[in-house]
Amino acid sequence: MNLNEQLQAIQDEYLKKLPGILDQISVLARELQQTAPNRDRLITLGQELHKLAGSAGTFGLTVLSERAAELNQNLDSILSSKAAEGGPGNEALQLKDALDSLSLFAKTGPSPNANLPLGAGATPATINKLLLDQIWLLEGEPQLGATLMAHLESFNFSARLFTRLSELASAFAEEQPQILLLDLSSEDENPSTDYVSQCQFFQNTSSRVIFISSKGDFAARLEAASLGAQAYFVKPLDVPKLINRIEQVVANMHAPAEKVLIIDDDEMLAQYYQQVLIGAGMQAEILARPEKVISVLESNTPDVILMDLQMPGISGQNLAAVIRQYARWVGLPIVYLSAEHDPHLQLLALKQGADDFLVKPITNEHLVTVVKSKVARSRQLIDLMTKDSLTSLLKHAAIKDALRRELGLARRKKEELCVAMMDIDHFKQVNDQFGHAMGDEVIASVATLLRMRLRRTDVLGRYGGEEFVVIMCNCGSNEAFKVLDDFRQRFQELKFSVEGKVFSATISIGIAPIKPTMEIDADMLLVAADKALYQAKSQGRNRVILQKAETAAN
Amino acid sequence: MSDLIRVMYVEDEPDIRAVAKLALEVVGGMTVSLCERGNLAVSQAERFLPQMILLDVMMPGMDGPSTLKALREHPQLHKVPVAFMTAKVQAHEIERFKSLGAVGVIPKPFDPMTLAQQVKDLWRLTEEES
Repeated sequence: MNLNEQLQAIQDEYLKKLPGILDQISVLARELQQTAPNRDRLITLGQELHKLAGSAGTFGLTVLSERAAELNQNLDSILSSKAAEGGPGNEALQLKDALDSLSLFAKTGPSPNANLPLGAGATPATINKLLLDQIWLLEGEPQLGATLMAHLESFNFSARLFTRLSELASAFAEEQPQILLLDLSSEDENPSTDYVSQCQFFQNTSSRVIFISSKGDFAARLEAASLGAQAYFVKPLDVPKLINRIEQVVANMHAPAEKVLIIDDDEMLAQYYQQVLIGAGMQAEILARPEKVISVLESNTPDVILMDLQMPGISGQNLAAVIRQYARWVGLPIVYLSAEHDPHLQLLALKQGADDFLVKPITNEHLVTVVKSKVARSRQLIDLMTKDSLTSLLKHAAIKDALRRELGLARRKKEELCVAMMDIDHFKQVNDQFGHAMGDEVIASVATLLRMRLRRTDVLGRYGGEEFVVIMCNCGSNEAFKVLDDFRQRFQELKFSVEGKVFSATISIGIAPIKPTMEIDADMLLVAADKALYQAKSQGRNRVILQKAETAAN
Repeated sequence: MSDLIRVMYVEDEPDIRAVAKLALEVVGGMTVSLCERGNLAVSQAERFLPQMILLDVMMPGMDGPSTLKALREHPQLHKVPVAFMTAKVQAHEIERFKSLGAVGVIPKPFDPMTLAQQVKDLWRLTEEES
């Protein structure tokens, strides 16, 4: 379910309960009329109205919410004015009619003007827009501006174009996008331009900044770096590379929390470090028994280990050496945390396969910074090892490993799974007609569009040249077909341009679904997907063929 | 300045709890722990260790202000910023909430699309002050 559907479901629940809430208010109001005015009852009624005002508005019933708030205020003023005289007077009774009329407002349903996506006024497009990553582009050259905007939008970013830095800066005061893409070349023409003062507005905000410039010299790059630029592109622009980089920056912003495993026999201290790390937004687990380390690594897959050097019965060095015996954990960062001040012993410890040495006592900031940077570095390296440089998708071997893992997981969780294999149609012609650089752009676009259209839990790989593999976990065949056919259509609509010539490309897709009960291994499944892909090709290309589950097993 | 990730929300109305969790997690990318009663808030916060706590004002049993008082007396939690979430209130009430130690008031009804930003803005304010 997407956000809007989930919100809708909660709203439906609320609307079911609403008549009951309104009945209760009416009952309280009626009692007020029939019995002598009673202060406690008035207070209860006020509380109910207060709650109604808060909740009804959140679910798009703006009018009802406003009426409830108004009535509550009337009630409050009655209570305070009459408090001294021992009880409310006749005004309270006048409230009754007003209270009865509340249910009328409720019947009108969610207001179309509600500033809520649930209301009838919001279209799916505006809701989706809210969920997309926002990019603001500063581009003074109209042509380049239009080209970049078209590309950003086709890759599902919500993009907004500015032609002057001052306009962007004043809009920034109201709202901050995730990404700022700034071309300051047109501001360059003014010799008095002072970037540093002009770019103050985005300093210390959460927006990530990418610079585009006509200058590629070291001084210009240094200046951009000092202003916090995450990336720097020199004109003429390589648009696919730029989009790829934006994707990486966005992916980093959405990166999962760093997972830390703390191995320390001092429980108090371990818990303290755990709190510090959790406070910095990370996940931290404590392992008090070092002999369990391998099984805990298997189940927790931490990004970094933080371990004590001296534990009863086992030294940190030896524990690190054991971890390094497993090929899978050779790259896992290990950081010692110890009171050992002797540099000689520290070096000795590092020789046994650890990555850093922190000396206790250590400030929280120091600890957090070291752990975060170790994880960031190690994630970068893992990406380099397992991901294809053009597309940032998993490489051939890595996607096969991933398939084995996901297949095992699907079987344990008794979930369905689909594997799709896809291949760009007539790719050789693209290369021959428009050149290899353009071919690369088409390949990179498949990757970017896949990331945009598929779920974050789906696993994507570049299997070879122009061939891709997608693993869709916990996904039935109909759903997979729908998603991939939509992807196919969107890919066909992408326009590529080279030296004034505009062309588009198509893609063929074969899907092999499995049920959790089926006995099939990763290689067989890939063969089945490949067969379906072959059918898609032989039936005329630019289509999705779904292999039946039973056929996949044979 | 660290990012706001872990937020606890104490609220007795289940639908509002659900919508706020969705708004903060899906729109705001936070991790939200929900609590339905004021008297459970302290022990839950001890375990969850939120960076910020949002309190409904009017709850049966222990209400928002008393929950805030209990949190303030707790050795580990007394520094965690707390904001109230409440339907339209008068200026003097906002002042009263702040005098109790709340960092601010988030008005109800809230818009699920902007709630996370409102919470983050309050958080940033407390970060700057500290």
